[in-house]
Amino acid sequence: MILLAVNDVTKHFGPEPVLAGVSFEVRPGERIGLVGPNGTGKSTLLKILIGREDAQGGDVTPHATARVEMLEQQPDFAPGQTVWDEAARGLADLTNLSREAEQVAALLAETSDPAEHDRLAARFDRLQTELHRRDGYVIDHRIERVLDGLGFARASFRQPVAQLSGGQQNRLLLARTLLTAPDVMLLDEPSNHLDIEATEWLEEYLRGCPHAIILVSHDRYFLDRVTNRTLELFHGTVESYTGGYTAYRRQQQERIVVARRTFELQQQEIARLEDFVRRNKYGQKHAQAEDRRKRLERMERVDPPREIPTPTFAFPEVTRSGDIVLRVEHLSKAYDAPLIDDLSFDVLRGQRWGIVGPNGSGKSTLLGCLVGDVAPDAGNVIIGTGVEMAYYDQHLRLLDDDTETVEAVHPGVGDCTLQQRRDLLGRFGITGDMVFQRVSTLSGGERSRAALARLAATAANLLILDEPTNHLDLWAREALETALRKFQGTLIFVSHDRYFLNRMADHLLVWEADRWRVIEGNYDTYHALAEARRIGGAPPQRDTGNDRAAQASAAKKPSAAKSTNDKSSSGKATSGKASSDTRRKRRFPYRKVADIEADIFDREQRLEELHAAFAEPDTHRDGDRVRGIQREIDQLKDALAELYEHWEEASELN
Amino acid sequence: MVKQPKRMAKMTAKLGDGTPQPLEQAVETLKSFNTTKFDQSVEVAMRLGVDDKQADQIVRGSVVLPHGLGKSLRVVVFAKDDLAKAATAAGADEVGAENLAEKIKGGWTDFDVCIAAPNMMGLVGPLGRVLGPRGLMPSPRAGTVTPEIAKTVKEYKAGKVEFRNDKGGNVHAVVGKLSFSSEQLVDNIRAFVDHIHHIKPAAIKGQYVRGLTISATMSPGVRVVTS
Repeated sequence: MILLAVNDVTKHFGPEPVLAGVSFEVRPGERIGLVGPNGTGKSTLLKILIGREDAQGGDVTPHATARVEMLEQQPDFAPGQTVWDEAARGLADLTNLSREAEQVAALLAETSDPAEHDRLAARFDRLQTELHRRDGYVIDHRIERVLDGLGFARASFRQPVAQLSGGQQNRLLLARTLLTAPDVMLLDEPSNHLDIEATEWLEEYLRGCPHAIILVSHDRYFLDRVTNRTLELFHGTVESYTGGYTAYRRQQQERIVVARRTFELQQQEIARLEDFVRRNKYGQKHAQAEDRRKRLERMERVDPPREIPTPTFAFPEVTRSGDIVLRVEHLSKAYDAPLIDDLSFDVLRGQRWGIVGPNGSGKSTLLGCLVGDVAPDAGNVIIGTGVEMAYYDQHLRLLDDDTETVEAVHPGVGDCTLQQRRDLLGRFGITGDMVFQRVSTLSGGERSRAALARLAATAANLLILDEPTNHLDLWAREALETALRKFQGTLIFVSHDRYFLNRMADHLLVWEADRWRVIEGNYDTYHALAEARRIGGAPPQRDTGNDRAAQASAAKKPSAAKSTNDKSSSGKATSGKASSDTRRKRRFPYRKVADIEADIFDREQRLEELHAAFAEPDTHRDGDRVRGIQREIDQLKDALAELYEHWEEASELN
Repeated sequence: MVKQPKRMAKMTAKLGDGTPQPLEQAVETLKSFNTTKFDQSVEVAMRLGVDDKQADQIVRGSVVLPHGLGKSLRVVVFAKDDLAKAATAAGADEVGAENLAEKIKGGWTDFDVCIAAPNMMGLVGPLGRVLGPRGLMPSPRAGTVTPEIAKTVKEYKAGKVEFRNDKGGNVHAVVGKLSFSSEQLVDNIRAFVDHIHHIKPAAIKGQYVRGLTISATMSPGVRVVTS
């Protein structure tokens, strides 16, 4: 079944067409990622699909029974509504159905006319069936699930919407759209206001969604995890690819290679034929030349490859700094609540540290402490020898809004000629007259590029970046990654972009369960460790936040960090090999086997009691009790898994 | 992939290639799976060619099984005055009106069947969020909204079974215990299957009954010849 047919849609803003014949179809179960550089008309296309903007040509035909809905960008909450009320608006049709069933039941109770009774009974039955089919009896559970998943605390469910922050209001709009569950859901940057945990929940939710989804996002990890088809919008037309973002990039490269070869071969053939015609137009081979001229006329010309130009970013070569670039000692900082508490770590030359955490966990405060903008309550930040630091803040205060771009990127010290600054801006894709525009007139993406150029102008060997990918499109993000990978200095950055974290970071500083934790690896390593810990099978991750010795030894032996990480991620395999040579070292403190067995017995008994409590029907009527029991079961399982390992070790080594 | 337990693998091996068997033979096969310490329930599952999205293709109702279910159902009744007295006399476990509605609204659902007199539907309607998810909401089509309260209570107590097609177009119901004799089980299953044939919605096109399987609580399903 075709849910939405888009046929030859065109749209002009001024003389240039934004959409020049867009055609595609949407079927049930398709989760489509709509990608393209900034300004290619993705949001315009979505607005045309929903009917909020008119196309100048072509047509958009939804299926007669299909509902198409789009995630609102501007809150339209009625005054006095609570979070719960607004979320429930997404299920308004089911609420109405339920109300109608109640009304029909009430009429059924009052009527004494047999014919009317039969009619109402049939109506009541139909409504019951519909409510059953559409899970209309579990509305509350559905609302709770979505609000929980998007990070709303239960205490905030009855909070008036007027008290929500802008980001929370946008999350509530997303919750409402998800609950509406239309046949075709149009989502424009749905993960923008979500932290990583909520984004992961949203990924899972959308993957389980049976409906069709068209998704605009610059989050490549999100696109990869959610979408099963990609539409590339460029030069006003779309091209369809199967699979998520990574699959799209691979197919796109393959298509470009084939298209370029075909184009070049045809150009060679055209040149050969034209040359023959020119040389033999009036000679003996006139007839052959005429034949080739006609062949040229008839020839179907191949278009040049449809290649989206990728900007090329580049950072200059930097001077070498000392081995220890940054030393953080017992750093503490609190505002209303403690954000950083006794944090210590060393950053070594050439390392790339990513800082990850939910909104409000103190990431930007930590960066502020590192660059000296924020005074810590306790502890020190020691900058290493020969370190030149440059800071990119997410609000781009690095640039003066009222000056020309070419002036704004002046590093402030030393000689930097106009031509050098133009060259520098050119390396970040800002060329031509754009360099003379005031910073305030630049778009978000252009301002980000200018700020990066300003950073490059300082020739710093320690870059501290706060959300550097925020305003960049997919292509600019890739260019930035490539440039930063070639950058020889040290890097500390905060990012919500998991793809960027994966490609850039070799160390992560993660805010987890009320403390900062150091992970040696990238986002995938962290995710795998977190997942293993969740199911109780992972070795406890070393909290290296306060472990100076480990960092220092890593400084002396660059390969040591890698092997430590391997050890923590591959677990038993490594330790098993070691035990063949020498006696295995204890992981756990000495305890008598009998004591451990008694402990295991007690906990197993408690686990059985909890399982029995779970089986009672009364338990299921009390959501808080269910959650409490589940939490205790999870904790017991974790503790038991550790006790089993301890018992094994004790049995072997005591 | 979850590994099949040895016990289940052994029973599945007895089924051979899974070819549908005549009902009597299928019941005998099922009875040979009686390897547990408790008396297992026997279930019938029928795959029907219905579209659950079409209101006129819903298969729902109740049927009295000739040999009962092998257990007593807990029945609550919404009725007043004489009907309430008749329901109590017929063996209803709980009879009431506003007080019963309050109790259920508080989360009490320790019963198997809920029956309502038509004049009580004003009270029962708002209980949809509690009764609906558990499949206990009284319904005229299932015969649980009825003025003949006493008769209905007796039928449920004697072994009436309620059914409704699920989202996949399947209908299933318990039709007895494995301790029943083969003849009793065959009678019950036949009564259920005949009733499903009998209430075939007129709007259905194509094959109506596409598959029939019987199973016990802890046994593999045994396919039965449908024609």
